Amino acid sequence: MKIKTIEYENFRNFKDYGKIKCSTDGRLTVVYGKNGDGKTTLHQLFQWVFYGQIKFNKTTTDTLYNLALNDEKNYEDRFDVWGRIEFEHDGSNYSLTRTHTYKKGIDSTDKISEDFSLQKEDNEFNWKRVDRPNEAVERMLPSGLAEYFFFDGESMIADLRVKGRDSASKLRKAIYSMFDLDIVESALGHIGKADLKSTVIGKLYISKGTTVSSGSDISSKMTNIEMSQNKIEKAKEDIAKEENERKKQKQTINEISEKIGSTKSKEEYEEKRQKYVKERDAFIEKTKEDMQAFGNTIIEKYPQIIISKVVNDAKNKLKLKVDSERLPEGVNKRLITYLSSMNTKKCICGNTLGVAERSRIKRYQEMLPPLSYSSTYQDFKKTVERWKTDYDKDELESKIRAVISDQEFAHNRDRDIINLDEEEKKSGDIEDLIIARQEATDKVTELDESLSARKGLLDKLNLFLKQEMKKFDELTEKNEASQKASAKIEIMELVAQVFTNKLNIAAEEYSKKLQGTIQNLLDVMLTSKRKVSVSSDFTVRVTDSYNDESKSEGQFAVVSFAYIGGILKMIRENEDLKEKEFPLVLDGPFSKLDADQRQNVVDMLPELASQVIVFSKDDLHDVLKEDYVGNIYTITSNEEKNIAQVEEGKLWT
Amino acid sequence: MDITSDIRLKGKAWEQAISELSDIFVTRTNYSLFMLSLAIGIMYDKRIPSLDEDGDENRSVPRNVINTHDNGKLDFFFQAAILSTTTEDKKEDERLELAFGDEKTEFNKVNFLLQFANYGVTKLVELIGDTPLETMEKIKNFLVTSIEGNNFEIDELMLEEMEISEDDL
Repeated sequence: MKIKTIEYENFRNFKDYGKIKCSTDGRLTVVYGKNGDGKTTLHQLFQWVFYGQIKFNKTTTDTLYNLALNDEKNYEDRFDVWGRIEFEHDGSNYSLTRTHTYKKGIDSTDKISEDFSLQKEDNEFNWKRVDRPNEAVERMLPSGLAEYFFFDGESMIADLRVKGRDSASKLRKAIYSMFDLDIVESALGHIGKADLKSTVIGKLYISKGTTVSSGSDISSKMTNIEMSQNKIEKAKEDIAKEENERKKQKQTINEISEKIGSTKSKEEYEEKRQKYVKERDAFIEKTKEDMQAFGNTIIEKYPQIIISKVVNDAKNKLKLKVDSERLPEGVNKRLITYLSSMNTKKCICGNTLGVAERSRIKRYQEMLPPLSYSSTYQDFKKTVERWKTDYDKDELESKIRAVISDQEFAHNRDRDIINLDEEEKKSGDIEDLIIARQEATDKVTELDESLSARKGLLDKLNLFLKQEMKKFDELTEKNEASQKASAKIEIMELVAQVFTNKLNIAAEEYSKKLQGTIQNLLDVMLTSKRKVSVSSDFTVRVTDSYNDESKSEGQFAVVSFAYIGGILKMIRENEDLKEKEFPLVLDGPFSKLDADQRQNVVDMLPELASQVIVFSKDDLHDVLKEDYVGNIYTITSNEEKNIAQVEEGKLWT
Repeated sequence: MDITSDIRLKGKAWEQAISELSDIFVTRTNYSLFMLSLAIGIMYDKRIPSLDEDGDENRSVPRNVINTHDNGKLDFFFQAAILSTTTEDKKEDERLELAFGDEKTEFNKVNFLLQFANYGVTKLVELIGDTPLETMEKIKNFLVTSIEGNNFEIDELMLEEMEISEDDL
């Protein structure tokens, strides 16, 4: 099978019609999308169209329609959610459409009908509806292997972190189904054991006493055996139910603990708010101080600087004579008074004062008060001239910059306070969480006590059953019917042994095969040497040279790629499946890989399946070889993340 | 200059300047705004005898503030004003006498300066923005352009008063 296109409308956050054309020439189709944009939704759309299954994470609702569209609809309006995949299989073209129709009610919107149709294009290019589409899809793309055709690397990593039990159980089921071992396993269960009354051996066993009349010892033992078997069955059911409930409660405890870990208490919020308020107020105070400093600078200098300019410019306006009269440099009132005295015969420089000199001194004297203000004016101008030098534009600008910076800090802190308040409003009260956790813990304790009592009862019932069966065996030993039944039981046990051996051998063979394939891929993808072991129950372990189990997310991520690669290789090598082509729609955990690993993994992608469609939140542009890449799409979303669309090309910068 | 009474700051412009610029001119607001307005008025060489009254007669620059903080600046400002103004028809000798003379005169120096300050404060309130930051920016730009000689209001004024013909330009 090769997927040619996928179309959709109103599927969760993909409100509008959209279409993705997938490359079918062996090159990768890449769909980019950032966290929350709808990558997982689009990945899940494939499985929804093929199998009607969706598997979102625990925090996501199962609502399939777009909420914004639902809001736009009126009471009793009907609308469709649909997806269509066109594909090529065994040389023919198919079109598979799944539609759910909803009707809006007063309080809720309900699904009122659904349709699933598969059409095949005939030789004359006419589309004909295929009967029993589910079965046809099952033959083309077995649902037991859906997890691997539509592979979610992130879930695999999460599972590997907790020893990979879920993955092992799913893989075991898938492999048994793939190689028809599920029939053997089912037969083995059907043969059963003597103490399981509904199984073949169980029934044969009890038939040992069927010929005796009621009221006899044998009859009494048979009744006891059947009664205890019933009780054991009930006890096991109860235990399974309670263990399941216990598991859920433990999970709740873990989830609440995680929330508590990330939830701040009221005191913490208050403490942080106080800190922000204090910082904001400090910046507001500093803003005031810096504004005042600006004002002070202006008042200290600028009136004088302005006056300085006025005096300088005045000569152009009034043209005062006094401006042109100027005492020579170094000549002042004291010197003129000294030289004007008739007793002074010589200047301080030693020159004799003649007529010409005395005439000049007289002129200087006339420039002094009370005869003239010329010299006073010059002194005034000198003082005013000095003021001009205080002008400093940068100083003023730096003060304004300081105010801007203070205001920004204060504004940021204000925003922090608003964000903190919103965060607090959204976060649950830690007290409530603690109470909820305590309730779950109490429930676990209660279940532990109940389980312990039930297991004690089960042990007793098993002992009683064993004892009654022993007595029953003794009583029926010489019975002809018993001997016949025992012979049949022996035969059935031999058959069961053959089946068990077959399963064990197959499990051993496939687990080793898978181990080898994963190891080969891992050797190519991982930069450091790691050993993979796949046990016969299909649990995957990755160890280093000290046999220590890997805990690195990066290594788990590489293992997840090797794992899916290994499984798909096994599928390709299967006698019944090797003629078929299967697509791989991969939501890959590329972000967890380091640069070398990422390059190695990306280089291997085209080899994993005949068609690979990759979903990635990481830009693979630099590591993808040009020849490897076919069609590229990018999911974009609005800010509320409730309406997304897919556009052709890599729209990231 | 002998300041014997408080300088009354009458008019709406003073009211607005004092109430809206007091965040920036925090220290001795009235005195500061008076000195800055005075310098601006002298720079423009324009006087307003009295501003539109707003009924509030209580604003003033106290004489004790001037006497404590002035350090002769007001004398310098008067000298600059009287020696540069075209608003007062006086001969050079008279201007020099008023500026530097010791003799008592009838000329009301304080009122003369207040009239310049009245004009200055009207220019100052034009610089009041929507936020203190905007006001600071406007004041800074006003000072920079005025001092660096790009205050076109004044430049235009001077060209007109100098009666320079277009041909001369």
